[in-house]
Amino acid sequence: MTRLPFRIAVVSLIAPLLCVAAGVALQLAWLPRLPETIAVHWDFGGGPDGFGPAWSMPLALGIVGAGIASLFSAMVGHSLAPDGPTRTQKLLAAASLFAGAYLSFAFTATVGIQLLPEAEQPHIAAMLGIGALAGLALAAVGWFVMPRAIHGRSATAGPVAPVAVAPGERVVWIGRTRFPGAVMVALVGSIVLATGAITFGIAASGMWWLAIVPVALVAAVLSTSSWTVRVDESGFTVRSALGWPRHRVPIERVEGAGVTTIVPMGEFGGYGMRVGLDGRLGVITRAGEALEVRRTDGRAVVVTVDDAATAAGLLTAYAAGRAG
Amino acid sequence: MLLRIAPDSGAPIFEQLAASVRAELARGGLRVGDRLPGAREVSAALEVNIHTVLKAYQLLRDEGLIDLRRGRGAVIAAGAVPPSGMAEAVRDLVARARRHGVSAESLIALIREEYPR
Repeated sequence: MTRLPFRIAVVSLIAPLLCVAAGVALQLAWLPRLPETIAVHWDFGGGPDGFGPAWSMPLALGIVGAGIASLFSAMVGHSLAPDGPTRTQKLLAAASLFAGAYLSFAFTATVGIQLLPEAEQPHIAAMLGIGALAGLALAAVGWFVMPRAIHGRSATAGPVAPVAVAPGERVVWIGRTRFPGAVMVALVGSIVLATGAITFGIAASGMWWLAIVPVALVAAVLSTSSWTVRVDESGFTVRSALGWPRHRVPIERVEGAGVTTIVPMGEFGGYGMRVGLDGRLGVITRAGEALEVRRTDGRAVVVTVDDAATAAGLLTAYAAGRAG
Repeated sequence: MLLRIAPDSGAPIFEQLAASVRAELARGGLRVGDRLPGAREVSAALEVNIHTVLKAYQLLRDEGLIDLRRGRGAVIAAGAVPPSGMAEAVRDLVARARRHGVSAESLIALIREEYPR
């Protein structure tokens, strides 16, 4: 964990916490004037459908708001390089400020309007809209308060010893990489829950086309959770278990290969096949050891996979053989 | 995992493939429960017949190094990698047997006798 530079700490942690603290303080000051039980949740029409004790709102804001700000700033700090933040990290910090401002405004406004007589209360959706706009404005200011984004970390992949290939020998490296078991359990659980909720929704509304959602979710998980990585004489291929998506770098386009370490949230903002904000294409299933393939056009591909040093060594050997 | 064959060396390709898997086990590149790449993948990467790959996997199964299960592919068997310390224990045992002039046949017979208990 790197110590956060001051301006990034302000945006990702201090400013959101100040918003939360202001909201909590205002709500606590209103407590004596509020009824003991207030509305805490509204339906789509704007009518209250959930009620709770008045003190529960500042408590919830304090816990959720402080929790989100701490989590986001820790995620930014976890992967921060000494030369500055990447765009992903700046985005995370700005998102922290947005969440802090929006949540504080939304919670405080929903409590605040209940000080008014019922006939004069503004619509709850208007309050949420104003909160979102205020949050966006603050996040935009926060973006420019932070230092300029540095461009990627593509040069960090360490060199590897080439794998020896004797004349007349055929050598290939084949690896597998997949989401860890715990992640799969969480994903499958979410899909089961979503399918249940959607089945209920279809039964209630007759919107049968909603059935496409669980199908799309299953396809998304199947196509990104398990990958085969191959290095052979013809180059580098990474392919999902479904056969698509896939990515191939022919050996004549391979500049070099190395081993690097990946922080999925900090560098790619998540898991699966995705483009990092530094421009690298990533197949990301977990944190840690990864194979990085540098292409002759200056772009790079990274795949988180075990035994990446052997894969990089073999690719290096074949790329050198093509050059020599 | 790394797979290495030399098509012109004269040795049957399936035996070279099996040897390659054994070498990978010895190197520590494979652990119990790891799945070997699919036969189709290996066949395409090494440009060998898929039946050659399947023959190599069958050989490894007969040696007890992998389990072949329908739908699960080829999985490194529990007995393929001796538990740590086993090789050292055997080395000690053989050294002791030598010191006391016990032949390999007698020692193996002793081990056989010990097993059913």
